[in-house]
This record gives sequence, C-alpha cells and structure tokens, in this order.
Amino acid sequence: MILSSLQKEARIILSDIHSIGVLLILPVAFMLIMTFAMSEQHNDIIAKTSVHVSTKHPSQLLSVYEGYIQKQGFTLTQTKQSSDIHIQLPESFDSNILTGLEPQSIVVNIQSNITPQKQKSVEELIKVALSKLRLHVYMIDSGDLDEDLSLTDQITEIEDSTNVSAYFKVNASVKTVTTPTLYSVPSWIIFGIYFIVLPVSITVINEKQNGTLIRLKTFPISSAQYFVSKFSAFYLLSIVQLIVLTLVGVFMVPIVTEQPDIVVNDWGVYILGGFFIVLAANALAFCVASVVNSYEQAIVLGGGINILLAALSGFMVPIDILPDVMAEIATFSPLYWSAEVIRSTFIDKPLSSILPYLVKLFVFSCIAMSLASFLFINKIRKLTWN
Amino acid sequence: MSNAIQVKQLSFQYKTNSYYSLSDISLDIKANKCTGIIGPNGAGKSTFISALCGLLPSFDGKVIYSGCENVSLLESVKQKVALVPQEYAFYPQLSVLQNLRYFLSLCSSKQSSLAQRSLLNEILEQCVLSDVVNTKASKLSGGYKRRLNIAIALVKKPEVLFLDEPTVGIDPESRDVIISLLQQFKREGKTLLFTSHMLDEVEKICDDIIMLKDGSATFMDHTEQNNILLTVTFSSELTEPLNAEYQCIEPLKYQRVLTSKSQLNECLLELSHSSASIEYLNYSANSVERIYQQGIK
Repeated sequence: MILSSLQKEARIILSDIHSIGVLLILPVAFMLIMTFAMSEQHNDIIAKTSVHVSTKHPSQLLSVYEGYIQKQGFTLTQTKQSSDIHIQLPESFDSNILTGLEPQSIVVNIQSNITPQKQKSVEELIKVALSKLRLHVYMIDSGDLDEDLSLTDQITEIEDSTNVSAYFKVNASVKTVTTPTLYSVPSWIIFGIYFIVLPVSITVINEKQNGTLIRLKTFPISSAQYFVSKFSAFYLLSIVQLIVLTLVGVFMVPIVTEQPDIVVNDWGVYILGGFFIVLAANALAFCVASVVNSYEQAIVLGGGINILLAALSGFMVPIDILPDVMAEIATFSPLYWSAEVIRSTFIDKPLSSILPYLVKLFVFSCIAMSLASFLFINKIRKLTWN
Repeated sequence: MSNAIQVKQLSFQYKTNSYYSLSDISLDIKANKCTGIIGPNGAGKSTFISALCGLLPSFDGKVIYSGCENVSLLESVKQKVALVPQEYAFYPQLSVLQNLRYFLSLCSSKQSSLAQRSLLNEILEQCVLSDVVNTKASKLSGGYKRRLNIAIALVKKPEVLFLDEPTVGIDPESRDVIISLLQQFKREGKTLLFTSHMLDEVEKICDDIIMLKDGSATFMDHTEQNNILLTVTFSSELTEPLNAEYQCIEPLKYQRVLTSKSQLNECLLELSHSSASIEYLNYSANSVERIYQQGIK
C-alpha cells in the first residue's frame, strides 16, 4: 500500500509543473540568487562607494585627508554630485586639527541609496581616516615623519605604523561561515524541503473536494493507515528532493557562482540529519494540510508559514545582523535548526554540536505528527456524503 | 426476498438545525434489487445515504447490513459497500489503469498479483474501458470518466453499490452504456442504491423507490404488479366521502395508489358501495414521475 501510495503521489507531483517548481526550481533559483547577492565582499562594497571631500577655504590638509580616505578603500570623485558621500571640512580645519575641532564641524552628507549597515561601516572608516590624518600632522610637527618624503610615502609610513593586524591571532570558539554559499545553500535547501507543505495540502484538498476521501472512507483501510501511507509516501519524496537539492547546492552552485567548493565533511552525519529534517518538514506539512480547506488557505497558510519561518530563521537576512530579539526568536524555528544541521556538516562542526538540533527536530516532529494525525483522522471522520 | 439493509427508526438532526433531517425512518432495502432514492433538493437524500454508509458521526436508530449484525456500521460498509460519488472521485493525473491499481492496492493485499490482474481486466471489460486503459483520466471524455468512477467502486467487489447521479452531465450514448452496466450489476445480484433527478432513468432501472421529503421516507415497490395507480371517475357528486387514501385530482375524478394487486378486488368492492355511480375506471402501473409529483405535494 505504501509503495502504491508513493507511486501515486510521485506521479501526481511529476505531472504538476507547479509542484516541481515549488519543490525544486524555486529553491535552486534562491540558492543561486542569494549566493550571487551575498558574494560581494566588504572591500568591494567600500570600493564602490564614492567620496568627495571639499572645503570652502583653501586647505593644505585636504589632499592629505583625501589620501587617507583612499587608503580606507573608498573611491574619490571630483564632484559632489557624482559622489555617494560628501564630506565638508570646516573653515579652521588646518589650524585646529591638533588643538581640537569644533564639535560637529565636519559635515558628512550620505546619499539615500546607502543601506544602514553600509552607512555604519562608512562612518567608521571616515573617522579612522581623520584619526590617521591627526597622527600624520602630529608626527610632522614632532619631526617623527620626514617632511621631505613625498605625500604618498608619508601616508604609506603612517599606514604601516598604524597597521596592528599582525599582532593579533583570533581564536573563534566555533567554526564560522566564511563564504556566501555556506550561508545560502543550507538555507535554501531547507526552504525547499519545507515547501512540501504545498503539494501535501493541495493533494488533501483535491481528495476532499472530488469525493476521493469519502470514497476511501468506505475502503477497508482505517484513516490512521491511510495517514501513515500518505505520510510515508511524501517522506520518501522529500528524501528524493533533499538528494537533488543537495547535489545541486553542493556541486553546482559553487561552480555557477564562482565561489569556493562546499565540502561535506561527514556524509553519514549529513544523511542522518536529512532524515530528521525531512521528518520535521513533513510533520509540519501534514499539520497544515489537516487544517486547510481550500487552495487559497493552503497557499496563504502553508506558503505563509514557510516564508515567515524562513525570514525569522535568518534565511533572507543573515542571522548575525538581525536584532538580538529576532536572532533569539530564530532559535525556536525548526527551519533554523534544520539549516544549522546542514551548515554544521559543511563547516565540519562535531556531531556533539549538531545533536541538540537533531533532538529539537525529533521532539518537534513527534508533537507535530501527533497533532497532524489527530487533525487528519478527525477531518476524515467528519466527512459526509456531498 | 431477503433484505440487504434494514433501517430501523432512523432519525438525525444536524446541530445547527432546529428540525430533523431524517425523521423516524424504518424500511428494508431488498437484496439484489435496485432501489431509487428520489426527492427534491434538501429532502434529506444525502443525509440518508450518509447514514446508510456510516458517514454520520452519530444518529438515532439502527442501520443493519445483512450478515453484519455483530459488527459496527462503518465496518459493515467497509466490507460490503462501494460508493460512486457524483464527483469524479479519482486522480486525474493518473491513467485509468494506474487509478484502478491504486484503489485495488487499498483493499486487496492478500490477493495474488495474478488474481488482481484478472480482476482488473474483468472490470475494464465490464465498464468498457479497455481501449483507454493507459489514457490519463483527465483526458477522458465525460462518459469514460463516469465509467471509471464506477469501475473504481468495483475493485472492492461490493455487494451493495451506492450511486449518486451516475449519469449526470453525459451524452445519451454514454448514458445508455451506464444504464446497461447498472442493469448488468442487477443481474449479477448486486444491491444498488441509486439517486437521480432523472426520473425516467429511475423508472428504467429501479425496482423500488424511496421518496424522501422533509426527512420522512416513503418506500414503494415499483415492480409493475405491486405499484398500481387506480383512477375512478364518478357520474355525479359523492354524498359520502371516499376512503382517505383516495385523492381528488379534479372534480368527480379520484386516484389511489395500490401497493399490491390483491388490493384491487377490495377496492372494487368498496367502490361499488359508493354514493355515486362509476362512469369510468382504469388501473395502470404508477410512474415514478407521478410518485414524485404526489410525494412533493
């Protein structure tokens, strides 16, 4: 019966281009788009930001400041109009740089197309450039910087003396995500897997609306048997979907997006995690399918829950730049636990750090499956002729 | 004649309604016969079938399937009954054979694959579906879809078949195929329960009629010798009223339905003592159309 059910559901899904789109094409498209979107490095973002520095009065330090601005990675422009950021220096800039500038005397105008995250980085780098300029002037005054050197050499000397990177050795307590693919591929694989909610809901609605469920009620199988056979069929289909998405995500996406290869360090752990993830996704899907009564409800509730959980789980915006409250909420989402399981196998985290997520997924699956079976059987029980 | 289903004092009220949708219905549905269930919309036909199929959560009274006295109603239904809903209750994405195989897999795990194949071939032939066996159900014409709907019910090898308007929305040719199919089921000894708004079909196929109105049921044996319409016209006004079973259909003209031929002699004797002389008397088989019209009055 389970085999027949699997064959039936597979044929129905394969004959429906929308289901294939939702289960395979959509997540692959998201993997590619989001990897491309995240592939720009911080340095590239700063280099694309154009800065124009001006002063109303002649200033000898203007070109020196411009030099430091450039050293921070910005691109200088000659006109205010063509710049993303315009820095207006005060009248007494040269004379007061060491003794103390008036508060808020340097005006920084930022164009509206700069995102809040980017703005913060930009502001910090502009301040760093000013600090270096002050050091530059101080060292000229004190004779520690050779006045005879060219401006470029002077700036290079200051840059070298303020570069402290070599003194640090950073030990992260956990292995971290270092490439966009390691972030986006797990997220969108999981997004696709949890979208099984739509085919499951639509199948149940179709069966209810065309009288198949009422007919099945008179067949010599119990509602519980039918639930189990249907659940098993979709579980196996989700496993196939996970295999396809994994192959695409691990082997194709890095090539297409020109990103470093993804290495699955322990396929055994990956497969184990996959079983738990698919169980949780289907349990949630059957819960939703047991509640909805129309296609509209299935799309709004099924699709809505998935998109909402994906947003809360940091799939659309990386979790480390979410506010603390939202990051905390994410830790309660089964989509987040699922993505973390996959991500952990990509960055070679030990099984001990994956285990808590597997336990959470299993507990969630048990609760959701119990609820789904109760709702599903109750739904069939209430069906009457017409 | 044995009974396939015994209905005893069946009453049911939906929680949202203040009235009974089925009110104290008691009747026997004969085995190996076709019983038509007729009545206007809202008369309780669907609720009645739901009750017979164990699809209502609870109701007053009893529905007993012959040979299943000691098992629950739903269990009896699972053993003996197959439903043919009015909707196309199958998977349009699957072919005719795939549909049949799937439904067969739900009920015949103990059958050998050879026996299953032979049953499927038999059903395909019987329902004249052999030439579309690999066609997707969604691509079938209305007539073929109706036949597939019936064929799926047959994989259960049911003793009792409930059919809800099995010929609705199809061309006359396909309708004839389905009607002859149902007549064949009768010959094979299946018990059929059949709802339809097409009274000529009911007339053609059914042996008995259950007329439902406002939750009450009237059972009528529709076989010719047991369902007679007696019409009598008097030459003058009656000074003493006739028996209450007579219905005045126009001045001086009365009709009465007799449920057996033996009643005819009694009636003639009764009429010979009436207060006016008889000008014209006729008896004929009562038509379903007339039963329906009388029922809804």
